[in-house]
Amino acid sequence: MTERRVIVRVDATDHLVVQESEKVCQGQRLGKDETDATAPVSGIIQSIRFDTSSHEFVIIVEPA
Amino acid sequence: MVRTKRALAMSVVFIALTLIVPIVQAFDYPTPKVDTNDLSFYVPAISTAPYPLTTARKVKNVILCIGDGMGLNQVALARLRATGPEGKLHMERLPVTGLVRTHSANRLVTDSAASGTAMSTGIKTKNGMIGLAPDGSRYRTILEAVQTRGLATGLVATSAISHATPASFGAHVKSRKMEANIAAQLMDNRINVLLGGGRKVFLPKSDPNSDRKDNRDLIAEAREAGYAYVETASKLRSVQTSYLLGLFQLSGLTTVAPEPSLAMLTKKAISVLRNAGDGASGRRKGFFLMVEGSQIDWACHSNDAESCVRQTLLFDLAIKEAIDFALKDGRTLVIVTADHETGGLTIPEGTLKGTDAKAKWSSGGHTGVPVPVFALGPHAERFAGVYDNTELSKRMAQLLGVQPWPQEVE
Repeated sequence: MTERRVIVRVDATDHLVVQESEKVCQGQRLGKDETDATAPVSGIIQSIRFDTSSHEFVIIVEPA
Repeated sequence: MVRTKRALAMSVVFIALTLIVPIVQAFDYPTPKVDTNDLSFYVPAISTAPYPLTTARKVKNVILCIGDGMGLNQVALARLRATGPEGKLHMERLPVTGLVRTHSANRLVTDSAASGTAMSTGIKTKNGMIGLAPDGSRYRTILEAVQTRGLATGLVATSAISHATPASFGAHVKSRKMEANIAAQLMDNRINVLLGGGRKVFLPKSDPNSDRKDNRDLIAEAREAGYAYVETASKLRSVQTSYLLGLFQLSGLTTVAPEPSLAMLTKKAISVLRNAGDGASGRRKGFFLMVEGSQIDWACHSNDAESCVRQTLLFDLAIKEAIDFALKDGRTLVIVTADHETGGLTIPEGTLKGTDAKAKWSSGGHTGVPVPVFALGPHAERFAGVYDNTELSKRMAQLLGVQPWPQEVE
């Protein structure tokens, strides 16, 4: 088992600056606002979903 | 060797948990299974004429309807798809219109917590904060203020009732994420009517469906405090009470039958509040009700035009219930607005049929554009013009005789 997907949650108020299938580098900003989360690892964004309960985008990153 | 095997097994379990558990937690919401292109549930207005202005001098009741994420173009798209370009939604027949600015204390683009707080307390706060100023000082909400004057109060939503918008009217917390705390505050506030989703934060942690970290059973506490508690549409229909708690899902509502519709929840809330008595003291002096079409926002975050239209029309039918009551009553002020726009929706093309109107989105988040306000009833003209969302609260407070406003709580 080598696959280790990483889940990042970002408040959905802001517009995301990344999209599905995009390559991201560790530390890269994911949302427009500077307080938003950054990519914890370098990899490819596998999926982005909106979680209604928490009002957050759930971003799944597949490490490179 | 044994230690190595154990370490290996633990690693496998850890990796499995990191892969599986968070994904399950992230998507536990019951997704509505519905044909979003089927708009046959919607009963459009027969006339497009505006409702008349009311001449009554005094406001007895206020029904504030908030479409979460409902900008002007969400209203326009729903109208085009449901009635064509010449028709009108029920909310568009309200005789007074205005525009509301929505920025928060720290951001041009607000969230529902800061905007809800602006509308409920009359002060600007930071995104994420509920019923508190940016420095943490606590401000009375319009619901709490009128409650002390003897008015009955209610909150209705298609989200969890502990979600940011309804929470902003009956709770004070640093973060909208503190939903277990919010639920407890809503119950402690003895709000007459609470209808929506979010049962999971009312259940004690001993319950497998609970999202609480303590063993408070808020449903049991509600019953002990004299609330009738319901979970189904049939129970909702038959219940007679002055204190009503209805939690129809663990999280947000599905907005699909057999669940009660937002219109049905609104009608029931009005019925309970209108008749709410307080023991020997008899009839109350009026009521304040907030109704939220919560899931317009959710549809727009997903850039789902069909769901956006459906949720806006479901909200419009709830507004129709408020309008029907207000027209008969004559002393009820109905205000329809939004906390912010979601999705940056525009309508770049389509024919004059309207039903083929195309939606284009510029964002998956909220935007900073002004939102519409529509009003009907005594002194509705006070809600015309272009103004800040804190003004909604200030104008409601003035009309309900609550002064000074805003009110900091010691």
